[in-house]
Amino acid sequence: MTPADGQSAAGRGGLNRPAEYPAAQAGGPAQPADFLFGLFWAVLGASIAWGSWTMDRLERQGVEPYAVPGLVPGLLGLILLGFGLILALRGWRGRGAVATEEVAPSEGASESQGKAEPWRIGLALLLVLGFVLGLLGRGPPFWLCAFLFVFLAIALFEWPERRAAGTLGRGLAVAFLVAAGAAAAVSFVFQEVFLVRLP
Amino acid sequence: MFDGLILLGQSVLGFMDPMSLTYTFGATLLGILVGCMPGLSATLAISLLTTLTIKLPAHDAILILVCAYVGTIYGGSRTAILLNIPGTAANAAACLDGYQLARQGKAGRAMGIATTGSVAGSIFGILCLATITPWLAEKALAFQSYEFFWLALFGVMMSGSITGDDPLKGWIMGMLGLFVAQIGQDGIHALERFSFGDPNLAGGLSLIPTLVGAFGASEVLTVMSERAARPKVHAVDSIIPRFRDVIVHWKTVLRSGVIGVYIGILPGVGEDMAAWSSYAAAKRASKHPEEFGHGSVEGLIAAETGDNASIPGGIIPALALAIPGSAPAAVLLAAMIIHGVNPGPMLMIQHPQFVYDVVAMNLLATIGMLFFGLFLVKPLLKVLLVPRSMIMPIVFLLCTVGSFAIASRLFDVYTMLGVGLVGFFLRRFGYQMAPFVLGLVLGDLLDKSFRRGLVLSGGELDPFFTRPISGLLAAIVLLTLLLNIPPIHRLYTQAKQATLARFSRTA
Repeated sequence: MTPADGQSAAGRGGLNRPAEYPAAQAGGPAQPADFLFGLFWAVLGASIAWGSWTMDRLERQGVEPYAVPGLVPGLLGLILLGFGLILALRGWRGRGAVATEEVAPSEGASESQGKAEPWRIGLALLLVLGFVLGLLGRGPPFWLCAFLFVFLAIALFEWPERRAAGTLGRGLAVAFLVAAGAAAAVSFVFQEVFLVRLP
Repeated sequence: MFDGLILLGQSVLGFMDPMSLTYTFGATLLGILVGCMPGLSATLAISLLTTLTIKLPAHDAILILVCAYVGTIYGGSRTAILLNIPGTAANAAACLDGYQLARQGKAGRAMGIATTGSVAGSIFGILCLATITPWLAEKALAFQSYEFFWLALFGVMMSGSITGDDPLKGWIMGMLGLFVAQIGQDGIHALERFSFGDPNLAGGLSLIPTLVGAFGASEVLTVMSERAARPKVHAVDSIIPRFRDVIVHWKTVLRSGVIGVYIGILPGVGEDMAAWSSYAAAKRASKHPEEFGHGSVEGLIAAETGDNASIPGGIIPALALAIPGSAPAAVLLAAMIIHGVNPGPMLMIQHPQFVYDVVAMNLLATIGMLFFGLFLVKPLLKVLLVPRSMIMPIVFLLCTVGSFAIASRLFDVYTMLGVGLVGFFLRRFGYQMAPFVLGLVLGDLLDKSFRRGLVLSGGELDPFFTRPISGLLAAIVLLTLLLNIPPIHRLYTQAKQATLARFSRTA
């Protein structure tokens, strides 16, 4: 969150949030992301409601209709269906709070000053998916999986800056040391101190 | 009154052993370090530490979690002041004046003010925690399923309304969290719901791996996907806290403390809103509102007092009602349940000592915060210089190991990854994780309360609306919903303005 965002957010002091969000009421261009997400939530909600409706009602056990296991999930599905339709309609009509990536989420990392770059997103996904689905539990010992993941993550994410600065060799050496230290420390602490099995 | 003091004294004395003090200072320091790193939130710290401390005795584990919670929120003010980046969402308000003070060469003074403000807020919150929790728990003994149903729904709706910029998306996330909590055997008849015959899903998605995914993996992916500039840390002058600043602004401290605790108690509303509300109230009441945003000491005190006061505030309903006041409190509540403590109205009857143990834990965490705020400021600043490209892969490693540690099954790691990936994409489109987490924690309570209430009333819905507290909570939930519908909100705003204009003419 930038200082400018912060200034506007300072007005969030009260709990009557809508007053500070005129965008929520203003018309504008259609919001395709909101429209598509709205449809997705509506379909998900309808599926949940259907799944709840067809769920065992335990009539043979004498369970009353108002205490069946599918009651609450079914109601939640219907509410989700309703919210999804409203979101889709709002996105279609171009109304509502600005969606997509301009929205500054208020949690954790979102306050960082950087902006997401497609190659970074792709690399991050490749690394975590490769680590969890490709390495863990597939044979190699945990310390080796952890070392490979941390080494590749540090080396590859720092690659452009290191290459531009002419410190590629140093960067790889630092990545190697950090990865080796992290893999050894995590393996030792969890196995020997916390007595936890590793994947 | 005196019974409470005696129990509190016993609790404090109970923690006066080397191991507890090591846990206190170690966890507070760890919390401060995590808070210093933008991208790592209090919820993530508590989720991860829950997995790491799973084998420890309950008291030690909860002590570590509470200290880390307090430390994280305090540590976030460091980056807010020095880098203009809030370490956690709770410190965003501290950026406004803290960073301006740093630019004026008063970074040390700003950190001193943040320390004293945080300590003052924390102590005020602790006093409220010690006094309000037993009172609230006693009142809650009269609550039945109807009230608990509305409280659970109220928490999710409030969190959805206030977190992020779009209430509708917040509510959708809340409903999603409530639904995910329904997966697996239902709490009354043990029928498998939405498990599709998968034995891993029969017990439902494990809470902690899901939380680690929602706040850990998704945050790691978000930070990894962003390019961050190397931070430039401002020079630091004297860091000795000036208690005079607090004494001069005692009204601001008191007001922010009250607001912080109040916002903390509200189910689902977190420290960030407490900081903003305290800041806005201080600005309205200040003799020098023009200084706010330009290095106002009063503004910084208000923000930091408010967010730290809301920590014990958020724990109050978690202990007394089993309804968490914020997302980190939700994880804390889950950790308590995992460790065999069952928060709720019966806690004061079954384990009154535990409530005062939590008060003592907060007190110890505050002492730890003051200690590190006084003596370890400059060494801690070195953490800000560690590149995030090195920290994030290690955090993900911990997310993986932590998820696996709960039950030694890879399915929990896959759950963490799946929830993390979904959370990562949803956050990019303005969907927040806090309402999801609230829904996840409160889903079981909502389900059981609603159906038990219907069984008690023979299928009648009346008691959900006609019992006094139920009716009040129902009205608030419905009003929250209605006031966010644009045409109704327009009518409400027009009516409010007309009424205000009439009053001002009369005056």
